[in-house]
Amino acid sequence: MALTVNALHPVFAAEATGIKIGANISPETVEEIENLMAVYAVLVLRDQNCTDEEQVAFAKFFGPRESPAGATTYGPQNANRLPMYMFDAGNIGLDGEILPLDNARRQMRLGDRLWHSDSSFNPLPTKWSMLSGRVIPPEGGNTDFADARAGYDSLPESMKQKLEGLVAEHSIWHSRVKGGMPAEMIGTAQTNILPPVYQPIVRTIPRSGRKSLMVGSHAGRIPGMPTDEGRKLLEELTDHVTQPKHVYSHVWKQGDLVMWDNRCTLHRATPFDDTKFKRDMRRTTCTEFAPSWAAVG
Amino acid sequence: MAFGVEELHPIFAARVTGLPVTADVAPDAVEFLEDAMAKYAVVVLPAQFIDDQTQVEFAKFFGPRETPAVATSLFGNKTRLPKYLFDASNVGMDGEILPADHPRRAIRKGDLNWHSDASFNPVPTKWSMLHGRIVPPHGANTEFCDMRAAYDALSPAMKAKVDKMVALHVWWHSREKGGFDQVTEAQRQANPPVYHPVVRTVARSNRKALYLGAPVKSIVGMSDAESAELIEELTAHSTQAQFVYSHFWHAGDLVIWDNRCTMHRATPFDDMLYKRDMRRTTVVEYAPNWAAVG
Repeated sequence: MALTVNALHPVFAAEATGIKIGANISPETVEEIENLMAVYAVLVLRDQNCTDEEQVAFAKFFGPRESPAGATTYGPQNANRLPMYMFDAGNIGLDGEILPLDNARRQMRLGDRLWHSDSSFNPLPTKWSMLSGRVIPPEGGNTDFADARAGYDSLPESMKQKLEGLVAEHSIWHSRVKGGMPAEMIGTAQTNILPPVYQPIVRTIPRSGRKSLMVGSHAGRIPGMPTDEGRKLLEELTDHVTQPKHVYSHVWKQGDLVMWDNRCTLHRATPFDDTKFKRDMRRTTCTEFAPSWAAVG
Repeated sequence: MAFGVEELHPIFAARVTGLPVTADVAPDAVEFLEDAMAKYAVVVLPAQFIDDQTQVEFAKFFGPRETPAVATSLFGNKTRLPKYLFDASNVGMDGEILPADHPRRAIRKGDLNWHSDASFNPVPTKWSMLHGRIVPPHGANTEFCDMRAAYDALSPAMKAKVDKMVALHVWWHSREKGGFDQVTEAQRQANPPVYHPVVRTVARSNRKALYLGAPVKSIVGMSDAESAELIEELTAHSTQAQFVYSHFWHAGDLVIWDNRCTMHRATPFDDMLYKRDMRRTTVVEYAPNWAAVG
């Protein structure tokens, strides 16, 4: 089946047909997807009624797959209902029912409504997320994406110079607190597992060669700058990237697989009636560097 | 067999006896070694006459094992050792002493500078475990310094200054300082600069330590000149004689050090005359979350 591509937004994001995800992807198709992602940064593949195994196998063509962290630190009742290498972005518990209001995982997920880049709090930079929409609520629950390359390009020259060499401290706990998770739920058991990491604010993305801003809600501090000043600059940059002209809002259809490049986009969940409607979203994530940094066992 | 501990230095480093390096380590031995490492940061297990497989299996009890990356990429992906073993020797694929002009010899020169293994990697390294298979009759000590004691001895003003600092670690920076000038663009791209805090609290001991070493190129938010001055001042402070233990190697020694709170350096020996066959396993700190990629 021939591959066709339709742009979804003036500066990024496209929809591609003619790809069926799974364990058998030809090297030519891998190359085409890599090239499309380098141009569009967000790629929507429709009608992918895939199994977990197919989704996990597909991810491996694009990099070493990340195992989700975090949620399981709240005990076995929050264990993943999904196989290894899958992150559960749904509102469903181990019993298949909507999570109760006081569930730790629900509290963890509140911060997802802030603009962020997945796993920017991990020391191994994340490359892509691939989110599969299995059960979609009838209304709401869009995912908004912003192009952080266009965000960088449209900065004034003086700001570009100011940012050269600057680094941000990223921590999942910055964004959880900002998102409304009760601070008392975050103890040393959690912070020891996911301590802060440091990422450059401006980076060049391989293949496209474009510069991009690495900001978002996990970023909380700029070392070498007074805390308030750093926080203000990070907020200003996130606001700049997420201006409406840089934003594509994805309305989910059941069977969509949406892929995005976390190195050069921000995204956020938008609200829906999540005590009434089920939303079953399953994510695979791959990291950038392989095999040397990732080869531990 | 009861475990024994003999201290090797007034503030850190100990020799542990009664703990054989085996492919299957009993839980009480794992706990004992974790506690000993939290206290001493450098532990010598003497007279361990083991093979590669045993060394590799033993490491697994203390964390996910790191695969050596850089060196192999330089020499056509050739290593004489199995996966998870880093070759810190002066011998080549044929088991003979490397010729004087061999690039691996040149790249290892940087090891003579104080460093913490693999600080240029984004996933922090926990311990190195270096096994002496063939050791020269004299020279070739490995020197260690205690970065917890070094932190503790800083003035309150300096502690306040460095507590929230972040340093840029660059792999090729340490090699260039060692005089190696053959770093290729592909190697630079495969090992991009990473950032680590200058002061970190080490799990289990809960002690603060300085985290520095030869790959540190600059301090974030400081000019290059200011950075260089501060890095030199902190390095000179940390490597004062009272913080240093110098290890003379006997064949069969397995020396374990905590890279999160020590630096070390190789010292010279007549390396065109004597063989030195040293094999290292390295474990990373975070498991399974950060390390679980596949």
